[in-house]
Amino acid sequence: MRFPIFLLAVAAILVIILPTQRAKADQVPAAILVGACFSCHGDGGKGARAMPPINGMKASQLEMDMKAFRNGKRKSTIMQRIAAGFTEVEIKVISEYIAKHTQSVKRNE
Amino acid sequence: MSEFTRRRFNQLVGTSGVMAATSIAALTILKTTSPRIVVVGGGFGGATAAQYLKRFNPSLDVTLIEPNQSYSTCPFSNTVIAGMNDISFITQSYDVIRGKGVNVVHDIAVDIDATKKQVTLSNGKCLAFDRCVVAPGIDFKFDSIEGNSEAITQKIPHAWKAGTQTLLLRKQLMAMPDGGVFLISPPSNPFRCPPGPAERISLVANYFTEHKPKSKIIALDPKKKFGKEGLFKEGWQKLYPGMIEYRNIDEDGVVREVVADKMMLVTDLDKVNGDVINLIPAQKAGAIAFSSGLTDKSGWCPVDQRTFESTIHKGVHVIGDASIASPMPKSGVSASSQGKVCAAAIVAMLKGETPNTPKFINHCYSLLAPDYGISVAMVYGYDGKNITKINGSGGLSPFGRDVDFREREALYADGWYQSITQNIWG
Repeated sequence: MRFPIFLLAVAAILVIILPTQRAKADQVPAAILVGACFSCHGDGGKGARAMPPINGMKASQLEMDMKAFRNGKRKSTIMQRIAAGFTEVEIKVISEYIAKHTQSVKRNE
Repeated sequence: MSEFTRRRFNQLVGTSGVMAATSIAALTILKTTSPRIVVVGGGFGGATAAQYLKRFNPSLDVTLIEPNQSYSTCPFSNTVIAGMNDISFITQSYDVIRGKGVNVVHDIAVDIDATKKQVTLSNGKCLAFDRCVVAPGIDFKFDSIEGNSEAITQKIPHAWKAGTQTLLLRKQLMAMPDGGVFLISPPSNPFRCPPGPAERISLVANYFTEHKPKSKIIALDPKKKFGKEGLFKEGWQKLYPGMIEYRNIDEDGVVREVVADKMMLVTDLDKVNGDVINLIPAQKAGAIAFSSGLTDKSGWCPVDQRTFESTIHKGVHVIGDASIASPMPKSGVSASSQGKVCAAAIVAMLKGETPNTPKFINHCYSLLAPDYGISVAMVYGYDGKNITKINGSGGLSPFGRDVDFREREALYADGWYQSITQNIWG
C-alpha cells in the first residue's frame, strides 16, 4: 500500500529537517556575533580615531589575532577579556564574515 | 459643457475614480502585507533595534517613536559636565536612521495596547503593529527621598538623562566658587550605568584640580560597594589625593531627605551641605512601561531572555535599561546588544522560525581624567533559559598599571564612543 510508505517518507523528512532547524536555531547567527565586534570597532569594522579598524582583514589573520588575544600571547588592554568570550567556531565564523562582508582596505599584514 | 459631454465626463471620472480606488486599494493591500514594527524610544536600545530590523529584513515597515529631535547620550555626558567637551559632542542625529528607511516620528507614546496591537501617540494618532519594541529607558523614584520631586531637579539636578540636565549641572559647577563642595548621592541598585557616578566624581575632580583646587567632593552612597570601585579609588589616590570623600552606607547611612532651600541632604546619621548637589534618585522602568502593563513588582520589565519578548504581553518586546536582563548591567552597550538580538529574533518569529540562540556583549569605559581610562567588559551567552556570563571572559582593567596603559584605555574610550554611536546612529 502506498499510504503508509508516504507517511514513512514524510516522517523521515521531518526527522531530518526538524533537528536541522533546531541545530540551526542553536547557533548564534554570524550577524549577531559580528554585531558584538561592531559595537566597539564601528559599523563595518571601520574603527574610529584610536579604535583600530578590523574591516577587510583576511580571515586567517583575524582568526590568529583573536586566538592570540584570547590566550594572552598578544598583549592587550581589553581584547583578552573579550576574545575569551568566543569559542573557536565562533571566532572562525566572525573571521569569515569580516573577510567576506566588510570593505577591504590595503594593508600590510 | 453640453449635456452629452457632461454625461461622458462623469462616466470617465466615474470609471477613473473606480480605477483609482482599486489601485489605491491594491497598493494598500500590498503595503499592509509588510509586517509593521513600532519601536518606542530612540536611545541606545531603540535606535539599534529599529535600524537592525531594517538591516535584517529591508521589507519591514519600521517606525521609531522618539520625543527628542536629537539624542543626547549619557555615555560621555560626564565630559560635558566637567567642561572637557561641548554638548554637541554627545548629540546624535536621526538622519542616518531615517535614510535607512526607518520612519522616525518625534512624539511621545502614551499607550501600548498589546491586545489591539497599537501604539497611541500624544497627538492622538494610533500606530498599528505586528510586533512592538519598547525601549523607554528609566524613570526616577522621586518619592524614595523625602522632599524630592521632578520640580526639584531644576535646582538639584540628577543629570541621569542627558541633555538639559547635563547643561544645568555644568552651569552650576562653573558658577560654584573655589573652595565649595560638590555633593553627589548615587542611587541604590539596580540603576543605569553602575560606574557612572564615580566617573562623574573623577571628572569633576579633574575640573576642580585645574580651576578650583580648594574645592571638595563628598559622595553619599546608600550602597556598600560600587562599580569598578577598586580601580577608581586607586586612581583617585594618584590623581586627586585629599579631594574626594566617599561615604558609603556603613559610614553615613542612606540619604533620606533633600532640603532644597538649605542645599542639604539628610542621611540616617548626618546633615550634609553642598554648594552644588547632584542627587541621583533610585530608578525604575520608563513611564510607558508602567502605563502599558509591562512591569512587575520590581518596577522593571520581565522578558524572555532569548527574544526579549515581554512575559506579560506577547507581541511586545522590552529592551535596554527597562528590561530585566541581569547579569547584564543597565548600560547603553547592553541595550544596543539586546537591540540587535531582539531585531534578529523578531525577524525570525515573523517568518515562523525558531529564534536563534543569542549572544550578548557589554563593554564600558570610564574616564578618571582625559588621559586616564579604565574598562569593564563581559560576554554573555544563553543557557536555554537565562542569560549567563561566559566563563573566563570579561572583567575589569588590571590594577597597578602604568600611565601608558591608562592613557591607552582613555584613547580607546574615545574611539569606542565614536564607534558605537556610529554603529547605532550612523
